[in-house]
Amino acid sequence: MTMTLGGRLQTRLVLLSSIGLLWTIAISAVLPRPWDVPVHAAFRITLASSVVMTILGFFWELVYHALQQLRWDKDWPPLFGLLTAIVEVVPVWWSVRALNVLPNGCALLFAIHFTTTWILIWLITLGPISIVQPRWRFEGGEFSRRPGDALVTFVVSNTGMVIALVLLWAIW
Amino acid sequence: MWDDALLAAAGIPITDAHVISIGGGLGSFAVVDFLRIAGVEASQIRVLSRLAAPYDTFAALARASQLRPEDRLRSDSSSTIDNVWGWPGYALCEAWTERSLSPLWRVVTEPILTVVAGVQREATRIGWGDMLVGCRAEVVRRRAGGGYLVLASRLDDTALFAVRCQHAYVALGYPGPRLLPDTAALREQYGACPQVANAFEPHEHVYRQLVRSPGRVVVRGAGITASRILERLIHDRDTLGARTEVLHVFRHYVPGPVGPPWFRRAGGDGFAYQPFNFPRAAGGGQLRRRMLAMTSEERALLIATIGGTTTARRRRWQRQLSRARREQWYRAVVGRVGELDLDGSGRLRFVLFNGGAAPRPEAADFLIDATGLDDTITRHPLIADLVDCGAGLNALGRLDVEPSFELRTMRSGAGRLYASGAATLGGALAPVDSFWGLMHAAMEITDDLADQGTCEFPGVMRSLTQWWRWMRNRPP
Repeated sequence: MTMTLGGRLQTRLVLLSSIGLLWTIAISAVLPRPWDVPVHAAFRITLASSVVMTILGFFWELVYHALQQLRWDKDWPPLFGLLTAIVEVVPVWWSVRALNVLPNGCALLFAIHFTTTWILIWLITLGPISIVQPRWRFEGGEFSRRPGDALVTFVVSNTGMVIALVLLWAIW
Repeated sequence: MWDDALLAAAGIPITDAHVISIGGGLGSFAVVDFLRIAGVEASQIRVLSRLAAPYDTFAALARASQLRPEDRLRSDSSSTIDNVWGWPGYALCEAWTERSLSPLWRVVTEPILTVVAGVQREATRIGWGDMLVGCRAEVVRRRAGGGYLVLASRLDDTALFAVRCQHAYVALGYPGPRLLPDTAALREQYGACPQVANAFEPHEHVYRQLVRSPGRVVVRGAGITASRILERLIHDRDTLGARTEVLHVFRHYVPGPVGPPWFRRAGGDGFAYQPFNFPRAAGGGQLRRRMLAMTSEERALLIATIGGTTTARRRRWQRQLSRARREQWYRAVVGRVGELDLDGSGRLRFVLFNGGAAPRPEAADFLIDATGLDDTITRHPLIADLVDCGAGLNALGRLDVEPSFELRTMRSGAGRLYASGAATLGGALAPVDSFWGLMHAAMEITDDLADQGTCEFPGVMRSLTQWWRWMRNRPP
């Protein structure tokens, strides 16, 4: 993948706020949790970690972009995109604990949600994203060159983020 | 500028098309494929070419440069010239066909066989045969009143005819193999002269002869084709008992990695290494962004740094060459071959100018030039004529195109003239002469034509439905 910095940020925001959010909503209720933890608490954990993953991701993308400068091809091989999950999971875990939304015994729930969301988004960037955005791979991961694409990006990312935050607020 | 009356007075019949592609190779195929997917009917497109199939030239060059159908190209798995979405890529398709996961690791190479079969399938799907007009395009001129007139001659009876179109696209590829002046002079003097061969021309006789009797062969060039030639020579030694001795002449010897830590290209044993002919980011990432903002001269400088003669670092080739060096039947020298001639017995003799050392007379049985293809694009008469008519050249002497691949100075009313492929190196896209580059150019051209109202560029819904049609092999 040959990402520009703008492409990295846009891709992270758009995918986490669309597919990532849908996936989170779809699986939160069925993830394994202790019997005394209500379903809305599960939603609180998964939604909070999704939002944290997006926000901290902006910082991580800056780091990855700097590291990318050391590569001759100025690219980011797919395997890197998968393995960086190991680096990113730690601060997300700390943040979710610091937000005090993680009851005891919910580590597995957190881990399954984080891993599956990450892999899903990684698989989508490997190719399927081009089916709906054929220019994406030619534009360094950016959506915004043509007005039509920019509108879709804007609507998807903002709607997704707003839905996530409202849901989170409602069940806090 | 021509008008219809001029051609009518000359008795030249005129037919109509909305978009014309001059050249019917992979560049044209990529553009026509994108246009068909973007909603242009096959009846509105005509492809003027003497090639029967879009991959003919590609396959012939690959065969001559020692790539067998099952061999793998230096190309990305998602650079699927027959699939504008790049997914599923070649690796995934192969994994599916072979019911195996191992192809998924080979994402930086793709087998020629798969490429040709894919292009064949897609050509049939988009109705390539109906759009193809077997002919030789001679001249393209602006037409009074807008659009273009293309003059062409039929392949069978060389009768002239003209096609009137709104938009035209030119992709003629390289004029031919690059003949170095000494090789050309030798051929002029001795006729065919089988002792000197070009890697991009059929030269099986060299390998056959070297298997029959021991011989010495000089290889010039340090690109991927030179690597292939060496591989073949070593293969024949190992499996067919040839006792070939190889003298490899490097013009520029790359002893190791070159450049500062943030821009360092791998190198060693004379070769510069990179996975593709340009760093990947030149095709769609940050290097491409930088080039978009550059002047023609700045682009030429950057292209010299990130392009040039390079090969892929493959473990098999590394092992072969280190063994060859150890056994002393492969010798690499820096310098140039001069005073090339034939002696009385028909052997090649030449003087090796080896850097600072004294020139040394040498002899060999064969010389194989792997120094690339001819990049003087004005050797295409049609392009020379375009340049005479006002098409500009960039700092590398190729056609000066906009980021949309339009030849701005050749605009004709509402009509647009585009070019892509090898003739346009030096523009904002560096790897123009690759599957990725041809597809990227096709996308930009389609985008620009969509702005002119010729087609609808695949947005989310069109792209999705067209991809589904592609998957089911239904016409676009």
